[in-house]
Amino acid sequence: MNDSDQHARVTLTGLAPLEVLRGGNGPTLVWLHGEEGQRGWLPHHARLAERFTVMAPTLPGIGASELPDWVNGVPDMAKVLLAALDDGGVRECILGGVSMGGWIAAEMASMEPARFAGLVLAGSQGTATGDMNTPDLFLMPYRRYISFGYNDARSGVFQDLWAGEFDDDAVTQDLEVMELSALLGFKPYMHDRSLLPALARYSNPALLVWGANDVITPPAVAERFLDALPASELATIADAGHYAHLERAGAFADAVIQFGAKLGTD
Amino acid sequence: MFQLHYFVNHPYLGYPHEAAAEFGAVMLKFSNRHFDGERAAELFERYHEEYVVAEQVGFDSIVVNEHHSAPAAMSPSPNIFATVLAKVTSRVKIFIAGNILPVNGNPVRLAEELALIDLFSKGRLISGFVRGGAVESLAMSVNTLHNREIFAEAHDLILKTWTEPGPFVWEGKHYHYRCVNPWALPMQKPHPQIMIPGSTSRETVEFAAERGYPYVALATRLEATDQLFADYNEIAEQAGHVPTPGHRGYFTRVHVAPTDEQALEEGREQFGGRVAQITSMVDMKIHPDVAAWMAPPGYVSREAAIARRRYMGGTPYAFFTQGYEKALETRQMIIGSPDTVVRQLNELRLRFGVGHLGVSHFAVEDYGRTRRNLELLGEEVFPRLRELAAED
Repeated sequence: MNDSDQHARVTLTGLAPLEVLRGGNGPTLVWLHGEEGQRGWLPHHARLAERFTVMAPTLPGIGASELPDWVNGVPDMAKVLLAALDDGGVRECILGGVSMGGWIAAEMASMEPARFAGLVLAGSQGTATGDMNTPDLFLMPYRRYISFGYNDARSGVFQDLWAGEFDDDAVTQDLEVMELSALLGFKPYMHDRSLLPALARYSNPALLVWGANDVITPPAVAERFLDALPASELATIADAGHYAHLERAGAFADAVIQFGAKLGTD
Repeated sequence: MFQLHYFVNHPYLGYPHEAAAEFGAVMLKFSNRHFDGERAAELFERYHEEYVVAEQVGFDSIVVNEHHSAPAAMSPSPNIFATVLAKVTSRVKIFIAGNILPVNGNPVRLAEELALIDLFSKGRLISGFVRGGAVESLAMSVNTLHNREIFAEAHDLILKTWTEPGPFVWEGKHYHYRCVNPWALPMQKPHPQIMIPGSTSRETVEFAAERGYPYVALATRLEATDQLFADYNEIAEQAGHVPTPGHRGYFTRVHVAPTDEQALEEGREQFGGRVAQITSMVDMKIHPDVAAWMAPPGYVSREAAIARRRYMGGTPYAFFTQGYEKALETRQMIIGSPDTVVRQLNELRLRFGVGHLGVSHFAVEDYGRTRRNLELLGEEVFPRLRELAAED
């Protein structure tokens, strides 16, 4: 895959410079990565770009995206990203995110509900499981945690992205992502009690995409978002764990594309 | 003046090592279902009695520390031990090495508690401040990302609480107080002596050296210790301080017996015992999460984390995995007859130019042995070490 044929790197500035991977045509889909990081223009980006103009910011604190020193939690992070969308002239769009990125997206939607025609939350963090057996990002090695996010960590799709030899840049991103995750989600662990109640303000359609075998945010978490969001539906991806967008990129992208088609934003 | 310190770890002796070996770690998530309160109460009786013996045999201070969620040290609050020390001893300094500032969470209350210890003991407190091992922050759910910042801010606030008349307002990054004005302040003026224990983290050496606080190296490898004191001296001088032996300390593991042969034999058993207390390493396959408990996000700089990953050399259990002979050879343990121990401790004293030497005893089931070790140190080792130090 030749990256440069499919996407461009642009920089938006609102409250701080934000790097965005942009590719494709069609209605705008802003897609936020989570604690798995921004690991390039991956198959799920490419599939989504067949139907959407995909804008995938690199979260502040990672790579070229700068983290303002006053950011101390997800609401602050949401403000930085909303300001960057202002700068990019992104007025109406579909907003989505995965895991910690889903939590940030949900926060943004609760702040500016009219701005987003659709909301896509994939294995979203933001609520507590309260279960000692839920893998904890800060109590195990980073890539071991990531492996729990796959239905099958022995598969080539996991091994290719996470298990080979990796260089200092990849390790640097692991550390950057971990530090950002600690800033946003160390305590309380990956949740905010105000998130679900505030989501009641978001009455546009919402899609919850969940790996059927997600052990990091188990399916019961999806149910909570279903209850909290007035107009929401659930798409379950078979044979996938928490990171369904990486493990089953095709099925994941199909679910999002199908949702987008119903919104009539074309 | 040359000073000798006695470091008490307060371990829990006698949990099932096979359970720990099966789990693969002896901290954080190793279940406390293996804890027995009656056993622990017995051990605390003994450790408190040991404080008295240590004072009698001539130590200048007794050192207590803070650890969480591990049988190797049942010491969640060193201030509680220090309070006991204030009442059962009358002469020795009470050296807290130290309170883990980022874990403590309320610097003003800590300043108050330390003031009481200083008052109860009529000015015998030495207050050490540490960042703590990363695992301590995890056990107490304190964000490791902010560890260094919190450490520095809490220190500044405690010092101000002790030295500037209240009430005052504190609006920092991590702490906010409308009215700092504790009534009970320390007896020592301008404030209790502060010493900074560490295990080679460059930032901690800088922190101590810049402020002219004595730095105590905790059983660090010898070459690393040479380097850290060279760094300390250079930084302290740049900051306008004149580093003396009193600014430098080295604590190590010591066991003494009437003959080398007996000491070495007992030492082997004690090394094995301490290994088991800390790691159950004997047959242990280390739990896959342990490496992350040592280096959570932000705890070390990115540069250091990358270097660590690149040169997988250092393991969390380097001391314990090297084996007994190697630990002796590298002087990570000082074990022998009084003659041998005097010679080896004096070599360390001269090598590092330290005015503080600390003895960390490996607690063993046989309390008689602990007492004999202490008595031999007091009768045969310390007088000669003090003479040698006085000759310099």
